[in-house]
Amino acid sequence: MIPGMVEIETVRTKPDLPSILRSQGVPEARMNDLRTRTLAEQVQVAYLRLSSPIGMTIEVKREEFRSLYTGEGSNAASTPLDEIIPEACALALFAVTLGERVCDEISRLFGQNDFAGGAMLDAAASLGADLAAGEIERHCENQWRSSHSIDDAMVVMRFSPGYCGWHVSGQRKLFAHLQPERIGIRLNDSYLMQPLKSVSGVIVAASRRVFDIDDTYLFCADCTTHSCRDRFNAISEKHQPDNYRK
Amino acid sequence: MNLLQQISEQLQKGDSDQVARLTHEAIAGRIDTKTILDNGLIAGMTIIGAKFKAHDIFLPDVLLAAKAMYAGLDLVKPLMIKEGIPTIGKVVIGTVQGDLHDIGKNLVGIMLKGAGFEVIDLGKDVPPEKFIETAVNEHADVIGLSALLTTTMPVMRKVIDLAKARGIYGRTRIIVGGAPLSAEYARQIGADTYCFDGIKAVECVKGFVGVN
Repeated sequence: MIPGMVEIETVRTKPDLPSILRSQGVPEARMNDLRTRTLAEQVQVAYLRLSSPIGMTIEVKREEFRSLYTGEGSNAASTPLDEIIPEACALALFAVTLGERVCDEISRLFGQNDFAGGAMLDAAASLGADLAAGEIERHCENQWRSSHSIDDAMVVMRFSPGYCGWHVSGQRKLFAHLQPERIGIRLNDSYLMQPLKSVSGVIVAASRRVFDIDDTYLFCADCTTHSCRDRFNAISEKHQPDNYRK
Repeated sequence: MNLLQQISEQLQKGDSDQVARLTHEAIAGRIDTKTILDNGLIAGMTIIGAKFKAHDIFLPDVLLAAKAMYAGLDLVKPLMIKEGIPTIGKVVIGTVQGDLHDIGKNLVGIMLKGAGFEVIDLGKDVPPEKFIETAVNEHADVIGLSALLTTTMPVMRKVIDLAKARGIYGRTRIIVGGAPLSAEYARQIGADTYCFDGIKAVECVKGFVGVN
């Protein structure tokens, strides 16, 4: 077993039908269209058959991460992690991949003119890779909670190079430290991970208020999703004190 | 309903087998090749494009229809070559060097073919020189560049600089697309236009070659 390796059950990363259909621009009102829904169900089956999610994680100290985070010196002048890191109680680098087979199948489907299947499997695999990253995040959170490294008031969020002001070139130092090549993830000169359906970054534990950051940084203007708000709302809901003790 | 209308109808339904069967029937019935293409296959895809733009149908419907179109096109294309029937234009597309994302580029290629263009797809991780050499050798009307990484966007500028150096800039139009791009970035690097999606790409390329 590779140190830090985390095995992930594929079924836990299976994207749900509405998410797959939404990724294809299908609105809620049309999600029961038989042909499209059948296609999405077939894609789910293919996803389960071909994805082999595997991840790895390694804890880092604040100072270590601060050094890593500077990357190649290309981050935005001010970023959320600049504010979060000093307040972090625990940090872990992570990488996760679905493997090559699902990517190969996407190419094969396009090659056979099965464009709808290929595009939908591609979208499902992107969703699945994100869910796999979520599993790694949960794994870290569970470990930290069981070892009492973090208490009930702390919440956990993940960040990746290429987002929220962390320049994608930060991948270089992240890879040097984590060495996800050991689970089959490679980095090219453009800082692109292969297999394509891979996610890397840092998992941070801190008190909830630390993550409550306005999405008004300069780079937020170029962001099309502002998903940080959703993610913050999600952890806020999950960790409402009453809910958490249930 | 005549045979060409049936081809268009079945294409819109995404029924590849029926489109292939009907196209075969049209060829056997000695219907003019260009008429089969224009009034059957392209006509069907044009309706699909309009419905997609109007949000009456969605990406999976478009792609199922595209597969059906290819089933017909595979039968018609050898005849077009044999009879020397020109396409409405030639487009060289690819994902730029260093980038391996090709879904968006593939979708643009599918939409362009559906509109009647000849598409030369160079694939992914394509060096600037390859784009220009192919465009020159094939007398392409348009070069389409795709990138999904901020780190590979600068390669687009290299392609444009090379097009200038080879004297095809302005004559061979250049369109760019990809998630991190914008119209402003396209303007900065000297691309002719930024295309948000395949529908927009078809509209732009049609405009460049003077087709409505």
